[in-house]
Amino acid sequence: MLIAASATPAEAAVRHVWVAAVPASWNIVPNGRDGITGATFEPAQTVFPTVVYRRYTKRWRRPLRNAPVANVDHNLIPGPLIHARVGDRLRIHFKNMDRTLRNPHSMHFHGVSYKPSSDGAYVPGFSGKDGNVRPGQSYTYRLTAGPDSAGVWPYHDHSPSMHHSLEGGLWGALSIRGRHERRPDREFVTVFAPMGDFQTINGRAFVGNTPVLRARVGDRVQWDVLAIGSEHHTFHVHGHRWRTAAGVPEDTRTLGPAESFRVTWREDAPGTWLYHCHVEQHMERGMIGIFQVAKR
Amino acid sequence: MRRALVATAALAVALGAAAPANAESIFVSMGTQSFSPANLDVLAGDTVVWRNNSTKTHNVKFETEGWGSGRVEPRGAANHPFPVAGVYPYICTIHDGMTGRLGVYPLLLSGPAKRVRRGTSFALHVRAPESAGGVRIEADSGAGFVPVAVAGPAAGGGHEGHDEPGTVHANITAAQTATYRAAFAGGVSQALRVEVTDAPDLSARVRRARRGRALVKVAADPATPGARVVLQLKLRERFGWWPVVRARLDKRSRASFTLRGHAGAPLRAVLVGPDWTTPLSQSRTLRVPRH
Repeated sequence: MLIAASATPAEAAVRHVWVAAVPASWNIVPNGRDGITGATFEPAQTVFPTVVYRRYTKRWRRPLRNAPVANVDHNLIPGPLIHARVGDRLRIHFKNMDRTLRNPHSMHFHGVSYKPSSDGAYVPGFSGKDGNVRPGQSYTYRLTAGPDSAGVWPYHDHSPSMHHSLEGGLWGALSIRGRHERRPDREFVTVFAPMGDFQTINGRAFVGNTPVLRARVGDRVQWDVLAIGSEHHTFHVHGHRWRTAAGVPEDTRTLGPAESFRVTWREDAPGTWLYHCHVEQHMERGMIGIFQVAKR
Repeated sequence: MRRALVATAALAVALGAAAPANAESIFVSMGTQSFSPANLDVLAGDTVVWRNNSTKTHNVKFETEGWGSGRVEPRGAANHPFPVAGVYPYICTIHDGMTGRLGVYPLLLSGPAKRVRRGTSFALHVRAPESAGGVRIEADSGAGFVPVAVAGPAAGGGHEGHDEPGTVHANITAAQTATYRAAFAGGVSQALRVEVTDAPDLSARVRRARRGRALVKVAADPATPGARVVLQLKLRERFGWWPVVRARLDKRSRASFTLRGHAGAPLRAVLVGPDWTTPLSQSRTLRVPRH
């Protein structure tokens, strides 16, 4: 991966992020159809109540968007993309606002350093409140982005509700840059995860429902690719190639449960392209989207 | 493929199954691991054609009816006539879990694809053998089927593409949600559920606003304050109607939305249920104005 030097090295920071687990009604297929085969779906097949992570202002006073709004439900899956740089300390202030299902929840982070009290995993007899935050309660996770934390990593519920929550979209991504690493012009988060009868990207299935990603020729594009669930996926983008750490070009990369990677390139291919999981059965059940590149 | 077609033709001849004059060919797509539609109703005498649109080899095997297609290669097809009414489950023996169901009926009923508003009229269409006379429509609102109408040729010789020979029609006034079927001396059609709704009519107006924006005003009649409304745009990159903003109707049963961009895109307002998705009624389609 290319890492360019920044003109102004940033100082290590303490970053405070306010997040809550909130109830939501989620539609996996908002346009009601598979745009490629023409198959249609009724709301009863695609809409379900769930709990998602949502970004808030300080002390959870006001909800914020997780992503730029392009849909009535604010695209709350995945949870907020949490940015940091190597050396930063993170204070993730989490509140469980699950007032409907009233389940415990937590946040468990991959890729960063922390004490066991910030692990966010439920272990009966050993873990504390961090792994079992009850409705109405809050907890602050104290994390450090260490020298080996640069990259993209998942975070997710690891409370007693974990297995139900993960299928419902209670997960998100950490994006950690090197101390002097340059920010990309475009950063796309794509989380491959099954949901009920569907195979989704960011909780949506089929072209047009999955994220419609946009860039311009000349942009430095970064894909944050993650997998949640129990299956393996193969990330593939049409019309593009990237290089592995060993310098080998590739256009498809495999990832298993909770694995994640970044792919970066300088955009040079205008047009509308497909990106998808190349496991055919996953693609057929919705794990496919479009990537539009405009001429500069 | 060739072998399958020859075998099919030979079987049809052997059975002496002469297709009725208004018989149709109905297509089923074979996907990677599924039939689409997996559940299909046809008129007795129709021929079903299975087209393999996947990259895998499939077959069709009927357990009760006995017919099997043999191997159907990618881009190939197999067909078979179904002269006898019945319900026929079938499978692909190559791919576990790839199943389908074919219902063959002496009459085939079709009607509104969406809910209909109480008090309005909707049409039911019945494909029938040409020799069929006295086709009646029966409805079941919970107390069993009772006759509600007699189906006949449409006035003016046609009814929205249903003017082919052997199709008869009936207009029904929507009073309550019911299950309908067509019946004649030779048997009954499949059942068709028609949902009746009290959802109000939704009207929408759009005009240009400042800074390249569009202002959309929505109202419901009769008034339904608090009802949920979603504004949808038909967008090429979204492959259909895409919900962009939502609101509840105010005390005067109105709502207004401001849109940025998407000039020229088709636009509509949809009254939805508590899940903010299930459509109850919708406005006519407008366009986002150009500046």
